[in-house]
Amino acid sequence: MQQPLPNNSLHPTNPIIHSPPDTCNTLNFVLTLFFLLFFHTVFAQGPAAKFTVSGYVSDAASGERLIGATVVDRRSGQGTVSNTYGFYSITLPADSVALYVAYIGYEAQTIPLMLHANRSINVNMEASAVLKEVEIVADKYERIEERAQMGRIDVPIAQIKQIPALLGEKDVLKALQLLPGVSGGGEGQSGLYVRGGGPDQNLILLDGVPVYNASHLFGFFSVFNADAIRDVSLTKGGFPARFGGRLSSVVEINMKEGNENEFHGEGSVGIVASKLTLEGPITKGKSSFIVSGRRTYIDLLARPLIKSGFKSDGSEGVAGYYFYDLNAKVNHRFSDKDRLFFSFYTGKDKFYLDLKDRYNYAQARNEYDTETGLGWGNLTAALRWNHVLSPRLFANATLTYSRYKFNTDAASSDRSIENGVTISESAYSLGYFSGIDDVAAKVDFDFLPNPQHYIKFGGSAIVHTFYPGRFDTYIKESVEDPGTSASIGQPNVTAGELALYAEDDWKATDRLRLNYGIHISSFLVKGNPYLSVQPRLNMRYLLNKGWALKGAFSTMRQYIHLLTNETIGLPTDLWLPTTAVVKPQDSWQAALGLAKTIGKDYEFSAEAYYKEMKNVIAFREGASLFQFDDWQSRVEQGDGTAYGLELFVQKKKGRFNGWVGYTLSWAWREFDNINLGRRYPYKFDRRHDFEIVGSYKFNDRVSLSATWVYSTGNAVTLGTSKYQAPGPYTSDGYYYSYETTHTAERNNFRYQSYHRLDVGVDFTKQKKRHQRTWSFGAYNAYNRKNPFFLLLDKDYDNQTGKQTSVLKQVSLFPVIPYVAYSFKF
Amino acid sequence: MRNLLLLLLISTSLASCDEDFLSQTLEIDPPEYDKQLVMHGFGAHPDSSFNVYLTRNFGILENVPDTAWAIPNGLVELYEEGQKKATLGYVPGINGRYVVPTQAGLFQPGKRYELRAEAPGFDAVSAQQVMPYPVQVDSVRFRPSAGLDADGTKLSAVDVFLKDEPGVEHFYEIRVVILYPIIEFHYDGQGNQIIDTVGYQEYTIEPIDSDDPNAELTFGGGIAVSDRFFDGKSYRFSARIYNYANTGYRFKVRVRSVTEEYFLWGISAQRKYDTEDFPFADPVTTYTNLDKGIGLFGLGNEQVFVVE
Repeated sequence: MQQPLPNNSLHPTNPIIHSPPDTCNTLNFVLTLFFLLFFHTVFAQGPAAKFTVSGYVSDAASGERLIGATVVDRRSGQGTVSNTYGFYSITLPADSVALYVAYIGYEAQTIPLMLHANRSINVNMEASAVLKEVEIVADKYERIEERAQMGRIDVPIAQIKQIPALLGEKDVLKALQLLPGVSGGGEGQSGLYVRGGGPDQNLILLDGVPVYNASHLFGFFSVFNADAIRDVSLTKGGFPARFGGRLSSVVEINMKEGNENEFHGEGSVGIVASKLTLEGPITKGKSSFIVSGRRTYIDLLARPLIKSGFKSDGSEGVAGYYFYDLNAKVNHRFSDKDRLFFSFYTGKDKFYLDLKDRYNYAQARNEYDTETGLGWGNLTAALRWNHVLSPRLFANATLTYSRYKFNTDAASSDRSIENGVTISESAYSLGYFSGIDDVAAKVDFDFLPNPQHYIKFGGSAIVHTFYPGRFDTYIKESVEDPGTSASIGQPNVTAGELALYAEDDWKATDRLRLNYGIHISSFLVKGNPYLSVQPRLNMRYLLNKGWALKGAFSTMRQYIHLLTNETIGLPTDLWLPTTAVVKPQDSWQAALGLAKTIGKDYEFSAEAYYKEMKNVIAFREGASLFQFDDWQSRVEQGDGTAYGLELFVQKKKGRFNGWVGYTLSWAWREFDNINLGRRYPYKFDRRHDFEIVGSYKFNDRVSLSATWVYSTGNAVTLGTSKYQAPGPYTSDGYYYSYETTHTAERNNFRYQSYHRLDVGVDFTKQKKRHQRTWSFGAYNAYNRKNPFFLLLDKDYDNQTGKQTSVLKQVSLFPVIPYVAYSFKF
Repeated sequence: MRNLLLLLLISTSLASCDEDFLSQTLEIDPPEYDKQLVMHGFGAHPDSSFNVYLTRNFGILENVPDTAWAIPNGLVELYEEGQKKATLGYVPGINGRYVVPTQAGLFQPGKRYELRAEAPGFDAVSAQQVMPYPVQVDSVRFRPSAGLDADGTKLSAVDVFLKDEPGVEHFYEIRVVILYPIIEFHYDGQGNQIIDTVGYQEYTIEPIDSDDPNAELTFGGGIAVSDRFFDGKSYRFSARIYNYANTGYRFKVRVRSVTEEYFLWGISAQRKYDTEDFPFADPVTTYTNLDKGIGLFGLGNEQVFVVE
C-alpha cells in the first residue's frame, strides 16, 4: 500500500480575482498585484542544489501521450502532472528519488533514481485490466480535493462511448449535457447551455481550434466523431487564465494522435451512419497518423426510391440529405525535445434536390432544370510544434485555421429547342452565403520552477473575417440576353483579437493551494478598439477528514456574438463581431464549494455559483433569424444573471462507473426593450436538473449502460388570453379590429417536465483477428412524450361540424430502438 | 440476456403498433388567466370627438361569438385634472364603442386626463395621460426618390423637419394618408365626357421604413421616434413609402407629438401584428397602461399638412 502523501501540487488549475473593465487604473493595479505575487512566490527559493526530472508519459502500446498523469516523488511527497502533450517536469533536491507515476486505467510505476543532475525520463504506461486494484491506488494522487480548480469536469472518452445515444450515434456534446450545470436545448439537440449562459458563450476547441458550428442535422448530432477523440473536458467556472473569449464554458476536445507502434483500426455500422478509423505508425516510434471518417447514408439508400418517385411524375431527379466528418492527424517526433503535429477536421451537411423535366410541345423540345442545395460545414486545421526549451520550460507554438460557412443555392433554367436551334431560354439563380473564418497564431509556455509552482503563460493573435450574409443573383431572360449577375448584402468585416495570459498554480502551504492568473484581451474592429483585463483566481483549502473547501472568481469577455434560434440548431446561425453599436459581452462569476473523495473512488463535489453577464445579446421583440437587413438593428443587449447549486458524484472506473448530478438553478435576463424592461426567466431556466449515468460491465463480453434525466420544463412565451385589438386611431375615425393574444410576460409558461431513460447493451466478442461488438439499445425507453413545441390548433368534429381550439404539446422522439455493429482490429 | 433483449425489442415493436403509443401530440391545459376589461382609446388634439372601445378578454381556447366581445353595459368616464369631463355613451354594435358627445377643444395641451371604465363582473380599469404640446414643425416635404426597398422597388419619402424642445422627452409619430380623387363622369349636351373631381378618399399608407435607424413602425400605419437621440435639436424625420412620384396624388401628413405610453403600445402592437403567425419570430410582450386591464389610453397632439 502507498503511504498517504502530503498534499502535492498536481493539476494545473486557474483563475480569478476581480472583474473590472478597461480602465488604465484597473490594469495597473491588477498587473502590479499579479507580478508582485508572482515574483515573490516563484523566485523566493532556498539555495539548496536542485535538479529536474522531465520527460513524457505515454501509453506503452500506442505511444499516445497521457494527459494529467500524476508524477510524484514518494520520498518528499512533491508532485506534478503531465500537461496536454504528456510532458512533465519536477524539480527536486539532489537526493535519492522514488518517482511514482500513475494514471487512471494504467499500472502505476515507481522509478527509483539518484538525482545528481537533470534527468530526462520518458515513462511508458501499461494499461491495466479493468478490475485490478492498482487502478484504485493510482487515484490517490489525483483526487478531486487536491485540485484547486473548480467547475472543471473530465469525462473519459470510454465512458462517453458507453452512454446510450439517439440512433446509436455516440455523441460527445450530448454526454456533456448530462453533467450538472449544463442543459441541452430542445429535445435531441446537441447545444450546450452552461450555468444560465447562451449557446454562443461556449468555446468549443478541437485540438485547440475553435469550432463554430458543432452540430449536424439541425442539432441532432454533434460534429465530433467519438472514435477520433482522445479526451474531453468541460470548464464551466473557475476559468484558468489561458482561456478567454467566451463567457460560459470551455469545451476541450483533443483528437487521438495515432498509434506509434502498430497499425489498428476500428469502425461501426449504424442506423444513421458508418464510421471507420485507421491509425498506425509512419515511422515506428517516431511518427504516426490517424484518420477517421463518418458519413450518413440515408440518401444513398433512399436514392432508388426517390428517383423512381420522380420518374412516376415524369421527371428525372434526385434529392437527399447527408453529412460527413473527416478527422485526420499526423505527428512526428524529431527528438525528445521537438515534436510536430498537424491535425485537420472537415465536416459538411448537405441537402440537395436536382430535377430535370423534358417534354415535347408542338415542334419544340423543352428542357426545364431545377437545382436546389443547402450546405454548411466546418473546416479546422492546426499545425503545432512542441519544443522543450529546458527541463523546466515547455513551449507549444500553434498556427490554426477555422472556418464555418453556410450557403444555399436555388437555380432554374428553361429552354426550348426547335430543329436543333434554341428558340427561347431563361435562367435564374439565387445564392446566399454567410460564415466566419479565423486565422490564428498562438504560443504557450509551461514553466515548472519547483514543485510548488506550475506556471503557464503565452499569447495569441486571431484575425477574424465575418461574412454577415451575401446574396448572389443571376438572371437571363432570353437567348440574346447575356445574363446579369448581381451581389447584394452586408460587407465582410475583418477584426483582430489579441490575448496575453499568465497563471500560476501555487501550493502555498500543505492546506492552501491557489491558482491565480490574469488574462488580457483586446479587439479591434473598424477602428474601434476594446481592451479587457480579466483577473482569475481559484483557491482550495484542505479541511479535516479529507474535505476541501474551494472558491473561485473569474471574469470573462466575449467579442463575438451568435445570432441563433434557441429552439433548434439551424445552420443559419450567424457569428458576428462586436461593433461600435454592439458591445462585447462581459461576465463575472464567483463559486464556492466542497469536494471530497468518498470511499475509494467516488468523487463528490458541491458547488454554489453566482454569475452576472453584461451585454448579452438577444433578438429584438418580433425579430427573427429570417430577416436579411442590418443585423445590428435586430438585436438588443442586456443583462443576465444566473445562480445555483450543483451536486456531483462521479465514479470513473471499475466494473460499475458513471455519475449522478443534480442542479438547482435560476437564470434571468433583463433588457431595456424586451418584456417592457422587466426581468424574465431565461428560456433555459431550469429549477431542477437531475441525471444518472451508469454503466456496468458484467464481464469482458457483456456490458449494460443506462442514463436517466429529469429537468424542469423550459420556459416559453404563451398568450394568456385573447381579445379584439383595435385598428389605427386617426382623426377620421377609421377603425377595425382583429383577434390577438395577450402576452403579459416573456417566458410566462413552462413546458411539462422533461424526463427520459436511455438504455443500451453491448455484446463484445474477441474474434481471431478482430474484436466485434453488437450494440442494442433504446432512446426514450419508456416512451415519454417530452415537449418539443406547443401548437395552438383547431380540431374539427366531423359529426357536429363544430370547431374547437386546443393547445397541443408536440413531441419529437418516441421510443427509438437502435442497433449497431462495431469492430476493432 | 439475448432472450431478454429479443423480448424487449418485440415488446417495443408491438407497442408501437398502437396509434396512441407513438402519437407525438398531447392536449394540454392552457395557462390560467384573469377575466379583464379591455379598453382602447386614443384622443387627439384638436379633435372634437373621442372614441373608446370597451371589450373583454377570453381564454385562448374559448370559442367566442362576435357579439360576445363588446361590453355594452359599461360605464366609461373621462376626467380632466381630476374633474369629470364627460360620460361616454355606448354605440350599439359589436365593437363596444363608446363616444364623447362632440365638443370643441376636448383635449387641451398640458392637461392631465384620466379614462375610467367599469362593468359588472370586472375590476374597474383606468389610465392617466397628459396631452402633449404640439410639434414645432418647420416644414413637410415629399421626396420622390428615396432609394430602393429590399426587393429593389423604388421608394419615395415624406420628410418632416421639426425642432425638438430641449430637456423634455418627446415622442413623434407621422402617418401618411393618400388622397385619391373621387371622380364623377358627366356628359354635356354634345355627348362630350366631362370629368369632375368631387372630393377625395383618404387611405392611410403603411410606411415601409425610415432612413432614421431609430424610427419604429407603429400600429395601423405610423412611424415613430423618440427624441432621446436628438434632444433639443432640429431634426429631419422621414417615412419611406412606395413610390408615388409622377402619380399626381396629394398626400396628407399627420404629424403628432404622442405620449410615451402610446409610443410603446404602438410599437409593441405593430410587432405583435407582424409576427402573430410566425413561429420563428421572437415573442412580443403586449404593452398596456391600464391598471387592472388590458389596452391603452393614449393621447397625441396632431397637425395635418397637405403636400403635393
